[in-house]
Amino acid sequence: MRSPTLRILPERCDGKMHCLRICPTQAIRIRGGKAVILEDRCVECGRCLQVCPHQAVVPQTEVFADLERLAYRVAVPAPSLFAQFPREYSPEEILQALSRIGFHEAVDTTQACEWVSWALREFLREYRGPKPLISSFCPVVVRLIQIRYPSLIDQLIPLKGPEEVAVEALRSKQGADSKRPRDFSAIYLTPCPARVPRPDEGGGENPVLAGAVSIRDLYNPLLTFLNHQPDAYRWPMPAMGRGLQWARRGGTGTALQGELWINASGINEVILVLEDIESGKLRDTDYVELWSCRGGCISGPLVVENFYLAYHKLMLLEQRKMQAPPLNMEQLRKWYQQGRFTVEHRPRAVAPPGTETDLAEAIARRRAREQAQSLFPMINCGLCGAPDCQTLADDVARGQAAVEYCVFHDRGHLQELKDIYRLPGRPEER
Amino acid sequence: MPACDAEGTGKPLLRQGYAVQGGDFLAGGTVSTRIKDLLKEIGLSPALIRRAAICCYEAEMNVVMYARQGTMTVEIHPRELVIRVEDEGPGIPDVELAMQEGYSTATDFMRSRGFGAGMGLPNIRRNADLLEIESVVGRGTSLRAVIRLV
Repeated sequence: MRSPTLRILPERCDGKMHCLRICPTQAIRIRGGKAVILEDRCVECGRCLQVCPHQAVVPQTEVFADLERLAYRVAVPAPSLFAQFPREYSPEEILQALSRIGFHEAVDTTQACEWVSWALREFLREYRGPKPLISSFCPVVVRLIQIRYPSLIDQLIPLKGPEEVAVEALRSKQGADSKRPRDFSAIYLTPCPARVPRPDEGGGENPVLAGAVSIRDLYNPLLTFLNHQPDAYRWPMPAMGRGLQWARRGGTGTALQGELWINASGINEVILVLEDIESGKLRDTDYVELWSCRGGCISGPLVVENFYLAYHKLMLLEQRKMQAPPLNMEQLRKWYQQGRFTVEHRPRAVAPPGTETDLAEAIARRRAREQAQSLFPMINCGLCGAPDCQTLADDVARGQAAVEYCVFHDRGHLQELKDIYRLPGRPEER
Repeated sequence: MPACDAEGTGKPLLRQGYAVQGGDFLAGGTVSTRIKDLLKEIGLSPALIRRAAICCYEAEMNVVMYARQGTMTVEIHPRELVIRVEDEGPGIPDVELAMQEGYSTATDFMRSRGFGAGMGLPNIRRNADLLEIESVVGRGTSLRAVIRLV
């Protein structure tokens, strides 16, 4: 069983269905006036977290202060971090501030982004299988494909994400004279609740990333230092390259030349594109870059800045005279041939529970679903605790709900709801 | 192609029929998407769904491109999946020729929509275990594709 990345705190939840209505994979139910997440349907997009007015949905990122238990902390910033602060603060100053709030070092993830862009081009060039290839850099997209589009799993690009590549490069560079211990702890600074290391998902004793802290939690401490201590740089200047573009949609394909490629962002758009791919409509397209968040990672659920402003700042940073050294092609080629960009394990299909392997049973379940659906009014009121009548019908067919959950079929349930939501009767009823 | 016998003759576990409108490029593909969703719901393996989806899509687009109207029926039997498409249209004068890769009678308009590469029927043949086509010029075409489930 995989550990959840989003949890709902019942003491904060008032059961008013904001999350229920917005969840793109119908993974939320309201039970006894509280929202619960069905882990096996959840793709961890974080829309519930963004929409909850009471912060009842919490990510499983580390509490910043708890990192002190780790002896040597290396910050691995998502490129989107650099667009979060006022324009006068450069990426260099932001990295500097990281050293002041408790990190011993930071890696330049944007350089690794450029490497992976290059590896992507190589992979596309050599690939001869079914098209289009689909980007695997958004963990929500990968999980969505595992759960709802398993026929597309083989089209996921088997390359590692830049944060992983960056940390591994740092580990392999380890010199004898370095003050950095071999067992340093890499901490991802994340805009995304789905991009957190999971001990139960490989990595074993030595996961690449030791933990993740949300950009939101780092914002105040970083801003305090940025505002008060612009002193001398402790670290060598980082080489911010074109890799910064990875923070936004369209950023991964910048090394491509002549390929037919598209990008789509926003989870509902992603679902439309995956439907089209599954139907065979995009088979002349070489590469499809997909992001669950509307503008790419820069609009992740755990960022702070207004998306449009952050996008503007990112554009300014991209236009800046970049100091990045040219790519060391010889080394990249060597790494690529050694398989250092390639993932060890490809994702596997995840079947929702209650899915029969027996064909006759599956068809019987479909009949039961259609029959239940014919009993419901199809107005999607949500009072049964499912987001819509069709989902309730599906739950009924899977034995996970009863027809009586629908208030049209059980007025007793309506009375229960009145008690849960403490609805006073009309004056004449009181 | 391996022989396939007695396929899809008895009473199916499930039969579902859909209408396909010729010339409607806007709606073209929606029937195959619905069939694909049905196959996903009953939990066929991803590889089978993929093959079935390709067969349905190619067959549906053939109706959209060439015929006036048609019907597409999917039947699920214990051991195989049968896709039937029957259309009213110009028919295919030489079925064997139409089966050849790259042979196409598509218009520039169809090509501009990304179709008509002469891969439609060959694609169905490649993904189905059995493909039968009967056509009467001036009347229409009927197609039957069988995919074995076990």
